[in-house]
Amino acid sequence: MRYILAVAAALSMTLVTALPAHAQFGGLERTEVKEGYQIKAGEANILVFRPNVRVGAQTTGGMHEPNAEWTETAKANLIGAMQEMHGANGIELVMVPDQEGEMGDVVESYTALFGTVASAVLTHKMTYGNRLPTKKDRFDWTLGEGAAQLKELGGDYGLFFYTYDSYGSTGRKVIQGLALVLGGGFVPSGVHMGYAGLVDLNTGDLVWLNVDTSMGGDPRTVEGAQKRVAQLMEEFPLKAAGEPGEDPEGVVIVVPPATAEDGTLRPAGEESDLPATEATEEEDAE
Amino acid sequence: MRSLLATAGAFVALACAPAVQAGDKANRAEYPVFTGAYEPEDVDERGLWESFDEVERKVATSKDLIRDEGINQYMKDVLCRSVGDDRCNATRIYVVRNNAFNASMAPNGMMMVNSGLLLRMRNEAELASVLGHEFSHFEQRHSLQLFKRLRSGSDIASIVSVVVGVPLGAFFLLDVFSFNRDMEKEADVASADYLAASPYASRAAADIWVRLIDEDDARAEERKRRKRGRSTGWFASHPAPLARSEYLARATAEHADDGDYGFERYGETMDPYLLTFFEDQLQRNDFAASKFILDQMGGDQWRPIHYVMQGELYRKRGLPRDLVTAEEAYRTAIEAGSTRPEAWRGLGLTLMRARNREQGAEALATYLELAPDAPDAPMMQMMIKGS
Repeated sequence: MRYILAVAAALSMTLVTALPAHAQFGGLERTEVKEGYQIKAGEANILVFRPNVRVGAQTTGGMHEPNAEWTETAKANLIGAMQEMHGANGIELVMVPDQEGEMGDVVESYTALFGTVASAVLTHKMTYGNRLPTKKDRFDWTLGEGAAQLKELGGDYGLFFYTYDSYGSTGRKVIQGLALVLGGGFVPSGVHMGYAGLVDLNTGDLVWLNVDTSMGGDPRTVEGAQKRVAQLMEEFPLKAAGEPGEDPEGVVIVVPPATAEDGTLRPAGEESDLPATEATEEEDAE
Repeated sequence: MRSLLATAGAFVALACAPAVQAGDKANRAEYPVFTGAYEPEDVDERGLWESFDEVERKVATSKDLIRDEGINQYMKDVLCRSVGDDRCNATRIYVVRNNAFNASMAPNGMMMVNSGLLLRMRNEAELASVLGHEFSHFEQRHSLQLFKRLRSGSDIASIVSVVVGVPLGAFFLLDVFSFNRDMEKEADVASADYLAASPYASRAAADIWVRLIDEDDARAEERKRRKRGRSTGWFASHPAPLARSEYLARATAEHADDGDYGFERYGETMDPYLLTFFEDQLQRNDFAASKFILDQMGGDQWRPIHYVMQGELYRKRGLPRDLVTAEEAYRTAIEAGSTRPEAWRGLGLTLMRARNREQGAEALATYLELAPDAPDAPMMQMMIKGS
C-alpha cells in the first residue's frame, strides 16, 4: 500500500503552514491594525486558541528535525510570557481547552477560517506589489458574525498564533561557512518565523495581524520567550481607557479633576489618573 | 498479461469456494514475536511523534472523517483479527473520505484508510492484508528509519554540493527511494506472515495488486498511454504492483494456508457506503477505471445497487449514447426492486437531459417523495416546475 512518505509529509507540512521562507536577514515583517481599533475598557478576556508552536533543528542538509522537548518548553514559555504581558495591561488570557462535539466543530472551523483569512491578508495586503486595489488602503477582513458563537467559551476576543523555529545545527553552520569561503553563495542557517492575529468575536472582524519571518528571541528560554512575545505582539491594539460598560467607541474621555485625599482639587497637570496607554509601545529589540 | 489473467482467474475460482470458519483453517502459522507496544525512544522519534500528534488532532476533527461507529469498529476488528489482539491496540484507525487508492501509517500509530481503498477491496481478507501492511510500518518503525536515512542522505548531499560547487550531491539521495521500497516490501512480507497466522487466507494479498494492474490497464487503454505497474522506476516509492503480486504469491505459497475471505461481512459493512464512495470515484473523471471497479464489484452477481452505480457512471459521462445506457440501468435497478431514491433521481435527470421532460419530471417527483429532505430538493422542484 502506498503509505505516505511520512517524513516527507512532515516536512512539507511545516513548509505549507509556514509563511514564505526568507533568509535570516531582513525577512518579511508586517503588521496591520484596524484603524483606530481599541480593546474595550474594563475587564477583557482573550481566548487563546491552541497555538501552533514548532521547535526543532535544521540539519546540515536543511531538513527540519522536530524536537518534542524544545517544542513543549517553548510553548509553555511563550504562553507564560504572553499572560504576563497582557496581564500587565489588565487583559486576561483564557486558554481554550480541547472541545468536544458541536463546539469542537465550531472551534475547528474558525481556526481553519482564521488561517485562510490570515493567508489572504498576507498575499493580498502584506505582500507589496501584489496588493489588491480594493484592499490597498484598507484592513477590513472578517470571519463573519458567526464568530460570536465562540464567545461562549468565555471571552470577547480570539487570539491565534503560530511560531516555527528551526535552529541551525553545527553542521548547518559549517556548511554556511564553507559555502561563503568557497564561493558557493549564501546558505541560510536557521529559520525563525511567526504570526499572530486577533479577532473581535462580537463582530468577527480581524482587527490585528502581525507576521514576521525573521524573529528574534529564543522561546526555549524564559527571557527569550519574552523577547519573542514582544515581537509577536507588536502594535497589538491598545486598551480603551475608561470604566467597564462605557462605550469603547468614545473618543472624548472625561477625566475627573485630580483630587487630593482631603477632597481638594489638585493643580492641573501635576498628576493624572489617565491610564498609561503608551506604555505598551515596545522598542524593537532586534 | 496472460499470467496476470490466470492469477485473477484462480482468485475468482477460490472466491466461490465456501468460506472456511475462523479458527479451523489448515496450516495456520504462529504470529511473529511481538515486543509489545512501544513509546518513542530517542530525540528524533519523540520529535516525530509530537509532530504527528498535532496532525492527528487535525485528522480527528476533519470534515472528511467517517465517524460512524459501525464501520470504525469493523476496521478495528479486522485489524485485530489480522495482526492479533496483543498488537492491534497500539494504533488508531481513521477512515477518511478520499477517492484515492491509499492507506497510510504515521510514526505515532495513526493509521489512515481512504474510502477509495475500501471501494476497491473485494473481501475482508484483502482489507486485513492492507491493515497488516500498515501496522507493520508501525511495528518496524519505518517512518523513523526513513527520516534518519533522508537526513544522512541530505547531509552528505549538501556537503558534496558545497565542496564540489555543483549540485551533484543529489545523487546521494537516490538510494532513499530504494531504501523506501525495501521497507515497503518488508511490510508486504510481514503482512503475509500476519495473515498466515490469522483466520484469513493469506493469498488474498496478491489479488489486490493484480486487480490494480488491470485497473490501470483499462485506464491506459482509454487514455492511449503506456501501461504501467510492471516495472519499478528509480524514483518509485513502492515496488511495482507486478513485483508485489509475485513475491506475495510466493510468500503465501510457502505458507500454504487456507482460510477465510469474509466476503459477506465485508459486503454487508460496506453496502451503505458504496454509492457515496463510487460517486467520489466518479469525481476523478476516470471512466474506464470506474467501470473496471464497478465490474469487479458486481462480478457475476449484480444487485440493484450496482445498476444504480452503472446509471451514475454513464449519466455523468453523458455522451448521447450514454444516456440510453444510463436510463436502462436505472430502470433495471428499479424493476429489480431498488428502493434507493438515487435511482429515481438519476432516471429523472437522465430523461430530462434526453429531452423527455414529462417522464423526467415524474421520476424526479418520485425521488422527492422518497427523499423529501434531500439537500437538492429545491433544485429538483425547480426542474419539475420548469418542465
